[in-house]
Amino acid sequence: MTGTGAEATQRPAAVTLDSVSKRFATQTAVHPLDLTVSESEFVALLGPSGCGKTTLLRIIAGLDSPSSGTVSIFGTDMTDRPANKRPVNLVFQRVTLFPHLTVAENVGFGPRLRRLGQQQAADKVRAALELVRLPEFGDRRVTQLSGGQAQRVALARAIANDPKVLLLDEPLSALDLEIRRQLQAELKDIHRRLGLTFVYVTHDQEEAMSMADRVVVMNDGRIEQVGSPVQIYRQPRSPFVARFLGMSNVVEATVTSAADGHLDLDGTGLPLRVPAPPQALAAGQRVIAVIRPDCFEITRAADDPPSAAEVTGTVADVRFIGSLVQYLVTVAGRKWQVSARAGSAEIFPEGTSVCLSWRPDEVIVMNG
Amino acid sequence: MNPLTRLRRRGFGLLHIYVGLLLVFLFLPLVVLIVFSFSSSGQLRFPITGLSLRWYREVFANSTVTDGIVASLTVAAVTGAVVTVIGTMAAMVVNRYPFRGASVVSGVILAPAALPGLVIGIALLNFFGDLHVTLSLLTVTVGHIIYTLPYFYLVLSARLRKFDPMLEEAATDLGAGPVQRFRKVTAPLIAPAIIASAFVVLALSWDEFQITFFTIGDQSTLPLVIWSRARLSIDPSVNAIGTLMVAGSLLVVIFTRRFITESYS
Amino acid sequence: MGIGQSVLTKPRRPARRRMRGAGARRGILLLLLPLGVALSLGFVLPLVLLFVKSFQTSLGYGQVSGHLTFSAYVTAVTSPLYRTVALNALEIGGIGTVLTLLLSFPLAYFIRFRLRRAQHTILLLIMISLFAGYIVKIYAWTTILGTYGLINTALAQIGLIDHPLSVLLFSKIAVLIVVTYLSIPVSTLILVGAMQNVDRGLIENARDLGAGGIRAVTSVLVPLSSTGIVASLAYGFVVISGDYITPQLVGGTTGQMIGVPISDQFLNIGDQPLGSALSFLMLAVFALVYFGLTRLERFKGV
Repeated sequence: MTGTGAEATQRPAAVTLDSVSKRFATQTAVHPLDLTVSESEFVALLGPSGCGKTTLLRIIAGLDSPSSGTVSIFGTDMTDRPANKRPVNLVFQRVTLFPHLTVAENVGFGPRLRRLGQQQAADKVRAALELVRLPEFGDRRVTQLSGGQAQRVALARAIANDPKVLLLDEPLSALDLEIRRQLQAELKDIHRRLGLTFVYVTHDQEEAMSMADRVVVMNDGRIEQVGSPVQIYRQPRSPFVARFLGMSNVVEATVTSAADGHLDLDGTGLPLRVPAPPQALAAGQRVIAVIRPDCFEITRAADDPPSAAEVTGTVADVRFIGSLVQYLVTVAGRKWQVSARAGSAEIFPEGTSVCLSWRPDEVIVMNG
Repeated sequence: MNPLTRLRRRGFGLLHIYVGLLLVFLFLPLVVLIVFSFSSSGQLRFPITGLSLRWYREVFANSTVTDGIVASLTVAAVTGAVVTVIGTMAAMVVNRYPFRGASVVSGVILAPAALPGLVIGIALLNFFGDLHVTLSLLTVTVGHIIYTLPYFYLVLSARLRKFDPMLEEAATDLGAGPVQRFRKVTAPLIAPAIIASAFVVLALSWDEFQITFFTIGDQSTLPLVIWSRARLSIDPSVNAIGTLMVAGSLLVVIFTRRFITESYS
Repeated sequence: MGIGQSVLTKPRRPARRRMRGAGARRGILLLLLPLGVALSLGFVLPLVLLFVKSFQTSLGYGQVSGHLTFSAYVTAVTSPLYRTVALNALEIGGIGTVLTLLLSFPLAYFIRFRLRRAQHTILLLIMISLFAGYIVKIYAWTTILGTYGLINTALAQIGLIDHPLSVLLFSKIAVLIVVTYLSIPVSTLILVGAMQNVDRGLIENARDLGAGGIRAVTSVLVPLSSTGIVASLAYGFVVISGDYITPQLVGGTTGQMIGVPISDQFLNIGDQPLGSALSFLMLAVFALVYFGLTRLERFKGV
């Protein structure tokens, strides 16, 4: 994960989507949106199935045409160009290796189409296979490959074509966890080595956050938020983004007072007094408050009354997941998810009276 | 172990026995055929008295039989060629470019298979009669084309449905224009399916009797030759011809196996 | 800054429509044309002409009069000659196809669910038996069923009978045996095809829930392969009751079916309108049977 969005924008725009939308007969897959991907950036399109991320990717690839708007690659308008004439290549979600060709013939498919000459094509094939760590696989038949190997060959095939932008449609979703982790690391490595622009579609937020320079969170055909993984995680801008990133403590609240640069929130069951966010909010307004599970401190309830940013509750559920302990704590009838580092700390069983505390500046407030 | 469990355990053994018996039943007539084709006696009764190749010699010496074989092969070849061409076009269209009314078209194409050969045969006989067309191998071929078309279409459609359209998208993404895509990806993957379906046509045509019976002219196909010989008298050489047909069928099926078993699944 | 907004900030560009509609449709029609022509000329037209002929009257020697009448149908339905053979066809067709289904279903189950690598070999063997020659197979059965055939000789050797059973050949039973035999390969292939889509796990699931051996299979497999079952029954009935060769070779006097007089009318320059009328009546019965079966399937599928 390299840097914030700022440096990236100094570089030329690799992909520019301008007012792009996609309507089908029965529904709108993508509402008009703009997006720019900078050269050498690793951008992830993240969202649940049906959010339009794959449609958007296919529009960039040229396999589907947009209902409105333009698609530009490195400054050239490619909206009317068919997919085979665009300098982009797609790694599909399913294995789409040609079953009647060997691995080497698959990888060399693009170069041979461009009539690069026997030797040059062979060199490209070799280089690509080495990049994906399958140097000896050239003569293998496609049907003999495992899932992970097949996707690597698909990657090599796309790269051997020297695309200016590499598109990946959830290439790892069908693979086992082990292999997935391994390939994630290898993909990052390849990205770093080649300096190639990557646009990566996934529904796995961990995957997106760990690999991408910038994450584009999508929902229902619209872009919910764009930012670096850190930005998005620390400052989700909508309840959807918060929930999708696994923050389950998303509650509605009402502003009771907004003075001295502080907001008092009511209705959550917790005494929330938070620094006022940049957007102007007045008393009576409904907002959404989010407290990430890892922002809570959990200790055994003491006898002295709770202080400012503290509250007492009861443990409703405990789950030990190795390095973390996940609690569900009931406070005033509402259940809050709390993540605590396991380490050698005490693990509170169900029914324990506990004290939750938090830092007011870590409470996220968004418009309701 | 209570009797129910024992029965249940045996239930699976019963299946094996049943299948074995049924397969014996299926192949019994063919075995009898082969056995009698080597019998030296001119009578078709058990037990066999001696072995001889006389019936095979007689078969090959007999020009009616050899003419019949040639006629059958010719009709099968022409039928195969015509059905493959028009059937492939239709199957490709219906299965790859969904359009309204596709299922109706499919239904119409499969309609001839819903009728017994008898009806198709007399319809064609009547038709040719009204048109004053002399019956010949050509009229036989027409009958075979109508008869085998639905089966070709059925088998090919089943295979085409398994074809992943994303493979063509991948080819396009890698830079292939429409023609290149067809030559390098679509055609090589569809070809085995077409060949397998064509072999089905050849086999069906080779064996066809009930329609051919009505559309035959001077030249007989092999099944018709067998029929006339069997009708005239008890003719053991029929067994020899039958055995040859079984052998031919075996060869064709083994040959097709290379294409029927999914080489690319 | 490159940050996307879901709010519209610029005027919308007009939607680009790819002009695919018209050209594609023309292409589709063009590709379907040869087949359409072939079927129209070789199938639809002859059937229509045949149908028309059924309303004409025979003048002997294959000649027919021009004007249209129902007389052929009346004769077909009222004459006792055809009643017996028609009933035979229904009887043998019905029993034969049900028998075929019952016999081939366990075989299909076995091939689909109990074999792995041997599947291909067995299917191949079945296909060989299928393509080994229609006439040849019927003829082979005469050898088995005949007075000095395999069965009689074997039974006599064992000592079960004193003189040969003549009921085996040239009887209704003989026709039933032969037509069932001829139908089993196709029925098996149809059923195996239908069973391919049934998940092995479903049967195990049923077993796990307490259904005993056979029940587990039938309660799951039968409803799920019902299309195959209906197809097997429909196809079997049509083929069996329309068979006009088997009765002639092994049917004797009692085993004749409707196909025989129909073929007679056309081959021996008989009464073609009558033959045609009989054929269409037969087709009408087939249509009824087919609709009956599809109704049954919908009932079973619930």
